[in-house]
Amino acid sequence: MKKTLTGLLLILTLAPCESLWAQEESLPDEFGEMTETSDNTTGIGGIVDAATTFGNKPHLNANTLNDNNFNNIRALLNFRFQHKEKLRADVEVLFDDASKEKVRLQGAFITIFDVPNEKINFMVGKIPNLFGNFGKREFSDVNPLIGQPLMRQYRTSLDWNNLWNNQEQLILKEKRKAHKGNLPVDVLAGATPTVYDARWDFGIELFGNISFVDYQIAVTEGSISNPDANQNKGKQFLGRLGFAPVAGLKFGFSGASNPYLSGADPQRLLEEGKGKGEYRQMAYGADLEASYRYLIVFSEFVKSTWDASVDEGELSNWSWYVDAKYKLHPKLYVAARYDMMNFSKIKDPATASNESWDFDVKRYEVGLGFRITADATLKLVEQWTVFDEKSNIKSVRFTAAQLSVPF
Amino acid sequence: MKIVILVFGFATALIFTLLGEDVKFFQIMSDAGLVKYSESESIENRAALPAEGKITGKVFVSKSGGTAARSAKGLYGKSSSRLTKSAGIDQRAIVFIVKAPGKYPLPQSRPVMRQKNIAIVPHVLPVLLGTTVDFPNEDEIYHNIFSLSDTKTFDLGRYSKGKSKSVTFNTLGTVKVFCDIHSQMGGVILVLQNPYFTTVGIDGSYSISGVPPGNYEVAAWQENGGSKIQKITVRSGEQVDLDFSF
Repeated sequence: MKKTLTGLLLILTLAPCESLWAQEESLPDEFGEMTETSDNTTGIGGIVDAATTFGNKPHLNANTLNDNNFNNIRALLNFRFQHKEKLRADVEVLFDDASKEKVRLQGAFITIFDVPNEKINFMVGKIPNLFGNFGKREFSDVNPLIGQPLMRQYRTSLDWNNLWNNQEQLILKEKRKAHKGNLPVDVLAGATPTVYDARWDFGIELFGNISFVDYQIAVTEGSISNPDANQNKGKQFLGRLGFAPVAGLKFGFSGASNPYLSGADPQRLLEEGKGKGEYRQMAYGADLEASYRYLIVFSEFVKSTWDASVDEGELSNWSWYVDAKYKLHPKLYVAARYDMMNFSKIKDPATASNESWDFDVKRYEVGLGFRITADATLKLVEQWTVFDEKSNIKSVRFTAAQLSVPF
Repeated sequence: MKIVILVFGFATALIFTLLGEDVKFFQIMSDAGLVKYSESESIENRAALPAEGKITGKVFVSKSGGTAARSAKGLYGKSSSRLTKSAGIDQRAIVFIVKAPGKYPLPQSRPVMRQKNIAIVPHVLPVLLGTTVDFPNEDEIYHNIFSLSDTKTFDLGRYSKGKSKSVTFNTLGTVKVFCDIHSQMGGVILVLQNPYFTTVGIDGSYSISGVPPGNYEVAAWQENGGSKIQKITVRSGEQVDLDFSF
């Protein structure tokens, strides 16, 4: 109740502030307060989010550091320096009031453009994830809803820190999850998402566009499910090819491969003769964006496989979502997302039968967005996550409001 | 109880939104004795007045920077090279007579605000009250022009190259125009009471001719500087020199 009231207070405080700012005749810069010399531009910008929830806790939306789009107050601060149109440096800092790391460096990278022309550009440093098409909508003012798709956030039973001894332990973990009511955060701590957007990774990316084709190729330290997997000495290779054949239609294909295990001492749990670097995550995906008039639709599919010492079958999952936003009025839109994640079956030594290694899960999120200004948006959403019939928890449902104010 | 509080939150946001943009500009127009035209008022009935005087001068702007583009949204991270290379923003000032008696015929050709090279061109467009403005998309990609200004709220939706939509402006004031897809795109439309307005030249000079004799308030508007108003008297066949500084 205290957190709900705190969030509500922040929403009520920030909403009028944004409207008052809009009365100023001096309009905001593209990057907040900017100063410009002949060749160089520096800027500071960001987004402040205030949110509150009603009903169940939004723990199933938590990322590994317990940062969560539904937390009461979040702020993203961006510092940018640009030299002509050739070089840009970005630093991004994230504040989340309920995260284990309240303030953290989200990204810091340098982009070099046109080497030698616009077909080839470089990005190096702590860079965002290029996999699929959700990256842009990671930010609250672009995401028409509040939550993230399951494939981008939902933490599976697989533990990147402590590899299980065998599939029995993995299935036991799933069973433990089933008895944790709607507060599974403690069980899920350290559990592995599929494609993790919440934390960026160190690496180098080559990108550009040729005609209607965009390409991105990167080498990073971690894996797409575990940016912390940099202790295993493996390197991740990932890439995306995007196509925009006509206005209003974009689609792309992504792939990634990297050792995914981290943790202080996972050696004891590995198969004999195998090192951490030999357990790879392989993922491929397809994404689509289509828009017309007042409607925009996004969809992504991801299939991910994790190397593991299972006797039968493979440790994998596939997930898919579609979300849509439709503007009813310049100041009002509706949005919805249908989301699902299914898990492969492995042998349960206890029963000798094949069991999925985590509960299949579906998530629905529907909402309304009210545009207070050209940027600031107030959202009201309903989200419910539904587990398969084996789970003691059938669904977790809650209502949430969020005010997103870029500056 | 929670629902009541939530509804109260939305209502608060709505109230402040309605008190939002363009207040300051419209205050100037109101202070000058202008009243909004109603939608039903017949523009065709406005008769042209004799044109005899001329106003010329220069507008000095000491500081540049700042546009009507919206805020950044974090890093975005993706391959945004094209988005950082939009055309430079033309921030020349507009000079106009705040109020001139009479009613005026609309221009024969419609003013155009283009979506070109991921920019809104021209960045600032002054139009006469009642004018319909065309918004053609000349880029290969989609744009989605919209405005939440109280003067005119509209959303044209997404449309492709070669297509155009139009909006008629029947209320005095400023209209901040944005693209819902490309946050760096921004423009401003000034809806003015009479046709005695002009965009200053690159060197800051301007000239408004055909002004009927009389006492006027002349305003210079610059996006970052706001409005400056000076009172003048125009006499038949004479030229008035009038400079503005921001």
